[in-house]
Amino acid sequence: MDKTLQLLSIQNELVMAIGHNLRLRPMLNHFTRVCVKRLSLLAIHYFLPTDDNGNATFKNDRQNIDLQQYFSYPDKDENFLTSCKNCILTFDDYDFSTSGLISYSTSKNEYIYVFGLEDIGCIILRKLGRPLDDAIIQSLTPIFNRLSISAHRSIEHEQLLSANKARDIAEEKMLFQLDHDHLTKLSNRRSLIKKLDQELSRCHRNNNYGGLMFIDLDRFKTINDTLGHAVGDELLCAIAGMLESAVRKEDTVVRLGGDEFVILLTSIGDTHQKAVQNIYRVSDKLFTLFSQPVVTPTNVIHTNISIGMNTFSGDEKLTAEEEIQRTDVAMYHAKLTAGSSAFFFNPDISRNLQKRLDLEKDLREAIKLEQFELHYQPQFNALHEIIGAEALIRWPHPEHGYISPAEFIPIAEYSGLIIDIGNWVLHTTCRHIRKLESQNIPASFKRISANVSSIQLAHKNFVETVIDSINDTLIDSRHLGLEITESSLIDNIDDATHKVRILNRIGIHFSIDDFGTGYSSLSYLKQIPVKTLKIDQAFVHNMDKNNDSKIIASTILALAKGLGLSTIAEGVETESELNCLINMGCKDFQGFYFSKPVPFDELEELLTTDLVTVPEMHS
Amino acid sequence: MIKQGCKTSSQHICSLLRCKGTTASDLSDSIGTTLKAGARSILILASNNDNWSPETTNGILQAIPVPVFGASFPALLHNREILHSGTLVIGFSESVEISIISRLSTDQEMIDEQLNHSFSCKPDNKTLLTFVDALTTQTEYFVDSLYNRTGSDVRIIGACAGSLDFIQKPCVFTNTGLLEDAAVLVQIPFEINPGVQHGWKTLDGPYLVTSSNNNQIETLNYKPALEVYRQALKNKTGLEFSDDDFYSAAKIYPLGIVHLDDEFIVRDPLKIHQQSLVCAGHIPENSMIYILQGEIEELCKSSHQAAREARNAHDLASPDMTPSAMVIDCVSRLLFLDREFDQEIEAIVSGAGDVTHLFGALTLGEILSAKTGSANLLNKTTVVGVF
Repeated sequence: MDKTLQLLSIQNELVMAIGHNLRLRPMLNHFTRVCVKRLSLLAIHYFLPTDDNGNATFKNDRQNIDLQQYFSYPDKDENFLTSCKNCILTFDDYDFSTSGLISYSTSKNEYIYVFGLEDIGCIILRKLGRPLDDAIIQSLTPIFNRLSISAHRSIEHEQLLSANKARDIAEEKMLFQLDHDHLTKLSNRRSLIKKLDQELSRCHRNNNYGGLMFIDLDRFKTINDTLGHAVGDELLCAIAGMLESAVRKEDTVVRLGGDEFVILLTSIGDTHQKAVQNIYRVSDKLFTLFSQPVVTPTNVIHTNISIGMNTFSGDEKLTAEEEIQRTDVAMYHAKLTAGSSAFFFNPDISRNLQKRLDLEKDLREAIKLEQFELHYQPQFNALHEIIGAEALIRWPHPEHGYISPAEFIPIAEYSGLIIDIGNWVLHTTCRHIRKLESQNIPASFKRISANVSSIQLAHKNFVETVIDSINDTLIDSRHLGLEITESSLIDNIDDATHKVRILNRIGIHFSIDDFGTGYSSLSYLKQIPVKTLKIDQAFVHNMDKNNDSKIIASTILALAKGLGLSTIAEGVETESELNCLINMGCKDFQGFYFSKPVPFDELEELLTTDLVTVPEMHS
Repeated sequence: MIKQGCKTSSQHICSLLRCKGTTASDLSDSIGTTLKAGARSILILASNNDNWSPETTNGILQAIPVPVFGASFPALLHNREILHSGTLVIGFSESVEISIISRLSTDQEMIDEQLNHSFSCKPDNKTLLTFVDALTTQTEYFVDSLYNRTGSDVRIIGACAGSLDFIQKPCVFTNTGLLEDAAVLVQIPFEINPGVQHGWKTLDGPYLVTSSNNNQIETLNYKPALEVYRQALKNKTGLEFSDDDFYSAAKIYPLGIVHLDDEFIVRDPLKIHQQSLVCAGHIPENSMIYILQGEIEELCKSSHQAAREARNAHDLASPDMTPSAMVIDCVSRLLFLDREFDQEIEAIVSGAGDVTHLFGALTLGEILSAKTGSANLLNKTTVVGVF
């Protein structure tokens, strides 16, 4: 009778201890504490299949049972794995579909019991001293079956909770992504439009002004091309942080895409004047920030920004898109006119911009249809012998006639079209060189030089492009010269030096164009293997009458001599200028005094008429 | 006689003093003397009648440069003497690791969280001594959680502190002060060999606890618990009692929860609440209980066995050393044995044998790791630790 009551008591107490907690660990914790106490156990361990996050799951695939220790009481039981290892190994072959028992006695007088928990896993009971009676073991089987059912329900519940949580996180992420830029985590265009719409209404209602700043990084494309996109991304993230640090909490910093950022400033004044003052204050702050190099995790990068600015009051009834467009126009103007400057929107710059946009469109067409021409300005020595020529691009626009390079080259550089144009120039120059190589031209004629823009030089494929042009046309590389400006060297001296060295090694002659107009630091000249300095025409023009120009030209000549470089003076227009240069020691010349730039046919004619027979161009 | 200074035979206790009085300076003097004797940790056992309060003790406790732990109890034991007043300051030669678990009555999660964060069991420490405020509502959960953290490799031994008026007040001594609703955990770098016995025998049962709520038994065999208990005593012993006189009967006839190996965990019925029996400890629903009875001779014999068991275990490990003995004896045994309690003390003293120091407390609950592993909260039991 006592034994029966004891069994009944144990069964009831343990079944009650299973409880109704839907969370698996708390449920097992409560049950286990009661079970350990009631059965005078040393410990209980649960081995269940778990997912990568340690959550219990179901044992669906019998072939791949991987039971993990899921819960133990006591939690700190250093030796349990050793004790249980053998049980688990044997238990892997056990039929889990029914609860059962395998018991082990160890030298420590310890008894280990293993019960299956249906498709959940197994439970291990450890007991010291006396073994469990058979009757107790029998009475435990239905309890553990009941525990399996509860555990099953708890796992399902927790899986449902996890799925819900994962869905919530995914939804949250999706909502965040809808309104934010994935790289910098700043607000995106969609978010800006929403906020700006609200701000326009608010300003209109409250007779207040807001402000927009359109910010574009100068030379970002060059940074991306030379240092790689990963560094470019780091720079954008660093800049996002800098912009946020420059504004108030209530303002919004937005990344529109690429290197374009917008700042929406709220409530910056109740008059237009105050608003303008405040927006200038922010731009000053930004320029101060960007006067220092930007520190990214892997680089320190010098960059600057162009800012378009615009205030709004909502009274003009413009849409958010239109307000952004206006600010963009102001930024574009700032970039094209001055660079690294801030510009306020006004309707005139909008008209100019349209003209530029049209020109950019036509440029694309011109590249596609190969509308460009190359003219060549011959170069001479003091004996009036032709020594070379500079290739100069010309664009005969189908509607507007010849357009000055001074007009379309900045647009080509800003839009990136300069790469395609530059490649065309290189290739065409090489084709023409090839043609000259097969003709009888004067021995004094050494090479034809093409101009290379700073963007072209910075491009990661620049060296390959030059070599390809040489190989495609099968010319002698010594007949090709490349003219680069001082500023394109200084932008990234290491990269430029590396590229010039490679091309110099295969015989290409490098000149520095417009020398004297750029940087005062001349230390780069020692590093870079250029051969010739071209004295800018600004110093040549009227030098016979202008003592300052004479002094500068004289200094350049002395410097070149000291460095072992040759010189050529550009823009020689009069005999007096020529004589002046000759007197100062200059030996080579280029300018209208000798010849204006001529089409290739004329150059060819010039080189082959009335001259001694020379079998080929001379190196 | 209080022995002072280090005894060659006892390597763990370097000083055992009884405070000269109950003022802060008396306590401070005793602690100062103990520190001078080279104590690297200090145990304070106090009688409730000394009325230590946070106001008088906190400044002193916080200034002690070594770990301090202990508690106040209804009475203390020192050699053959019962101390209804007085405070013992015991200096240990070894330093110990102390952890404090506070706000024990708040909730179970709070207990687990504190144990996980502030208690780390050092692998070399094989004994964990604990003093717990007996009037927390989660004592058993705390003991279970302690076992959960230590595992079976560490022996837990402890006592529930407080006073017989069952009004909760600060009673746990720590370096942060005298605390209420708290426990102090002491990781001891040497082994305390335990012996445990209660000596209570079955009078009637078994009964099924068909309804209970924590420490209240509402029904036994589907009948009101008080009615069943009253009827059983009348049938078996002829004893009848009024509701007002409940404890005079209950102290003689406690309850025993049956565990699987036919061992009882004794539960002391303290009072009645309507038709329920309110006990000192949790009574699980569906558990099986017996009504127990005590006989003076059996109880004293069991106390002797507890002390002997502990001494034998010690001598097995360290036969050449004269040890000390710490007694954690339930105060309800004193209430039951009354004038005969001297016999229990004699039984313990003789069971412990020749010891350097014998000291202890009459407690509101005893805590000890069972031979089968887990730790239990005990009532009406004698626990002796020899080291």
